[in-house]
Amino acid sequence: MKTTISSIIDKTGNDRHKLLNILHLLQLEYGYITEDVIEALSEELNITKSQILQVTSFYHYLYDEFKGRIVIHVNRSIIALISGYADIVKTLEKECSCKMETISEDGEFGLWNTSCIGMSDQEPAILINGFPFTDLNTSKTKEIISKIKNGKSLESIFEEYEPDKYKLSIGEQSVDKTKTYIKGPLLDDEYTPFTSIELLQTKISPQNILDIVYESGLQGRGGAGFSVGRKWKAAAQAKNKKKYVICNADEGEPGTFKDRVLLSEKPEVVFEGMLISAYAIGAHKGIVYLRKEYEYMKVYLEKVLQDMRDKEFIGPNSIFGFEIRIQIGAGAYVCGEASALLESMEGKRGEPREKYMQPTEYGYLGKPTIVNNVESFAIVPSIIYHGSKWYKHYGTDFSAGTKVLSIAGDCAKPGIYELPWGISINTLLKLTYAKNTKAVIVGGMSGHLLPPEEFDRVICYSDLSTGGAIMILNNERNLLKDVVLPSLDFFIDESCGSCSTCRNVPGYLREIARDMEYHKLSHSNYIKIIEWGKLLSISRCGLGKSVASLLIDFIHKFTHDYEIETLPEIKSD
Amino acid sequence: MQKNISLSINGNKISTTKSKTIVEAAEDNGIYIPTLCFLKGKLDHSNCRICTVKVDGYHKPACSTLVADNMDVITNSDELEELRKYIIELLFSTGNHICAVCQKSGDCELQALAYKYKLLFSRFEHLYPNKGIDTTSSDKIIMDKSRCILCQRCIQAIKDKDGNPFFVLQGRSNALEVVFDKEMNDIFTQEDAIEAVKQCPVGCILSKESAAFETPIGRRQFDKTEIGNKEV
Amino acid sequence: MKATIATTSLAGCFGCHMSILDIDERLLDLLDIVEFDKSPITDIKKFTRQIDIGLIEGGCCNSENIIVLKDFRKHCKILIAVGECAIMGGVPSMRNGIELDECINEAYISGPTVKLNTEKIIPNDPELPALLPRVYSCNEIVKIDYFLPGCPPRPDLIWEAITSLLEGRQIDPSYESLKFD
Ligand code: SF4
Ligand code: SF4
Ligand code: SF4
Ligand code: SF4
Ligand code: FES
Repeated sequence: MKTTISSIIDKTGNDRHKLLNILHLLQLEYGYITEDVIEALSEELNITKSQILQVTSFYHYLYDEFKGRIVIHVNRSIIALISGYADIVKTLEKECSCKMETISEDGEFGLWNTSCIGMSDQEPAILINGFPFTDLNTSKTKEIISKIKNGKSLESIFEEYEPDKYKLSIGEQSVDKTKTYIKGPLLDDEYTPFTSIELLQTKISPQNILDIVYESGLQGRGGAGFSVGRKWKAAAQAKNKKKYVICNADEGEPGTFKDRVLLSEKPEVVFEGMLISAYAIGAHKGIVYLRKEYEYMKVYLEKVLQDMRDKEFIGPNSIFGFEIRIQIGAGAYVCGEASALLESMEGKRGEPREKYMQPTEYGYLGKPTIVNNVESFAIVPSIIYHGSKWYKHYGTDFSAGTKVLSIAGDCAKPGIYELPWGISINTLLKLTYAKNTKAVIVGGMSGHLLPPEEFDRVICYSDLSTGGAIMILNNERNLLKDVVLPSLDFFIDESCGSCSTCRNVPGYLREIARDMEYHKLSHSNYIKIIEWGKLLSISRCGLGKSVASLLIDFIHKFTHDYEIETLPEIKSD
Repeated sequence: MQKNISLSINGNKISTTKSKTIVEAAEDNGIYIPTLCFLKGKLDHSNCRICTVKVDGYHKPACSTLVADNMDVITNSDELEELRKYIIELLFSTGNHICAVCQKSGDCELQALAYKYKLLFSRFEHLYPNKGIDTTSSDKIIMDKSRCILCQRCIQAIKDKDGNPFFVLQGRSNALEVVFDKEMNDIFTQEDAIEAVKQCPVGCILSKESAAFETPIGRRQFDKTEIGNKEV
Repeated sequence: MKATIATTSLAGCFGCHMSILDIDERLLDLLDIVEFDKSPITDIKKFTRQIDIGLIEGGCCNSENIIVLKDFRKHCKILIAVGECAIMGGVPSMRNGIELDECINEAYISGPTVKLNTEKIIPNDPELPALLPRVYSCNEIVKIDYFLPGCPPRPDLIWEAITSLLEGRQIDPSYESLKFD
């Protein structure tokens, strides 16, 4: 064992900051992080066992115990729940002869819930040893399991059932079965990848880029909406030879899948965007933080990077001397928060940092760093090519450009829609052929739950700001059971636990919400929800701040859905 | 690199030096902001959120927010005091705090804050967790983990000469725990142990050496003196 | 007419009652304005009328505690949880989080101080009230109007509470009278 561990460490480099990578490889080798592995690793890296456990116990996809030879993660997102999650669970439990969250007696199968694997348009979906199987039904699930039982290799089963995804996993280009219904400047194929790189070498200075991006009004597409140009300018000003460009591909917001589509269909422009930003701020290294659930695409992405190296756009021979590598995450929603992502990349627990310092000053390994979303990088080459005015004419005055939306749930056409900012919910419902819509969730678990009266509201930074997750629910849905309770389960599961508020309050809120299944919401419980929502808002990061948002929207806007003891004064937020 | 900065706290103009936190700047000017997890010089871990103040209209933790020119800080609005009470109640209810059998009683910062805010009971249901008492990992301290408020002060403050912590985190979310790293026991000195007991704001880390309940009731730190109230 | 007070000790140690008596000579002043009804102090066993103030010591660890507490709620206009046990379970609640069987076993069979129970009998008289799986605080069972923390509450706090209630003032405990131990 020791020699294996040594060789793995040699491969990744004897560096504590590479702990996640080392652990991934060890898990691949031994199935889970055994005590012996920890013991040996602790000797090799000269850190204590507890310090390794401190990291492993943080991540969902680092296992501290045997999870089965075939590890099946069943997606339990809101869309999964309304698309037949329960049936799939029933089938799996029967076929694998074990209950959820356990291992079968022979150790062959392990069934585990997971919060969202980014397949909301193809639910129900599961991951089998990391390979996604989607659009499941009872018979398909049965077939897959019986093929596994009959000794067929998982790769070949994957190839048979998910040919598009299989191709990516072996490094071939493919178009995912996700449907893209509306394309805009980002997704239409008007822009030929790498045209802007050519411009960099001759016509455009770093300062030009900073100015163009700033003037284009591009805002962070992860949801927070910080001006991309301003961020880059700050990083450009930082005086440090080493700077980093980081692409946040930790798309964890339940209901979103647009980054998956962008990465599988337009990886060139994403990497090109990173390269342009590196040129603008003077960075030497780029890292894509890819969520563990998307690991199957890694081979393909590596291949695209290799092509870029061959063309000398990146790599040691390129004129920019810029290199991009891919870092695989380990399963933690909170790592989508930029500073948590940095911590995680440094091989630590992915806890958000306090905001007294910006990553542009003190980021990855203490160096100036910009972290942007996949979608933000992807549009940059086109903006540089066409200029800021071109981009600005899309969207509204305060929200420039277009937004790639992942739309899922009760509609005839779930999929990807690239639309200019300022589009109303009503229009979205028409475009997707949604019928009898009872509610729309904009922005995933931390977003808004909207009743029909508010469907004239529009998607933009000044009204409904979103990272792109739109979930549609029709009249048959029980919002408390299908939306509110799962959202609280989700946050309880995903909190990093640092803040006294976010660690503890969600559990109390869940008690009240559960009680609402059977009893009227009492006035005192109503007050508690509102007050505790305020208490959560002083948590460190966005996760804690937004724990109660769907619950509060629910009690304010869907009063006809539940009973309330004495109707309190409804304060609009 | 020090320069004068002027800001307003609760409407009073004060001047201070750059690179101070709001907590420190306020303290220099006789204004007490409650803290539990704050450690001088460590800004990265604002875990308890009790020091939350309003800075230019936004809630920020005073222990990790650096002063800036023309900042407008409010530390004591009704809203903030209410949030603090909630946090204290939350910490009481999610742990096992039976002060009568706790040897930190009278010197405990959590308890002292409850006294300051005259808390009579908690609005959160008590969870009665049984996280166990670790008596074996160290030969110098015990840890009654159901009393730990996860402030992480012990992790930040007590380190060996290479900067390795003696206390580490395990798990996440509501299963988060702080444990003593027993592999480090050999180099955990008596001074470290004393410091750990001192740093722990509650009665989680206790010394195996010193006798319990030594100081008679009435003479303990917070028996007669309110926390943060230096004059009395 | 004098105000009426009833008291009881549920899962408590009588320490809180001691503390009530500990208001010392003020007890005489108190007796000028109040009359003790059902209480261990008077040995009155049954409620015969509505009472103004009920003081509860201790939380609920067995079935009888719950019956008594509900009876108090029914007969008292104002119910006060006196002491940590009544407020949050207190010392008896240290068993919460441990299985009941394990507690009983430790207490009667395998505990290090169990010497005399050679026949290893676990008390089983049908007259004995059933132990609850955990200790409950009073406000988990009935509505409680006021809370007086302390183990036991300082006599000053009890005095302040009763007098302010009778005089219709807000309870305003002094710093030194409000202690949790
Ligand atoms: S808000 Fe929640 S997730 Fe964010 S830092 Fe605090 S505990 Fe962690
Ligand atoms: S730690 Fe503090 S609050 Fe908790 S029991 Fe001990 S004295 Fe009481
Ligand atoms: S043991 Fe004490 S110092 Fe350490 S985290 Fe817990 S409460 Fe804080
Ligand atoms: S609160 Fe303390 S004094 Fe009162 S009954 Fe309980 S243990 Fe006894
Ligand atoms: S003291 Fe500031 S968050 Fe704890």
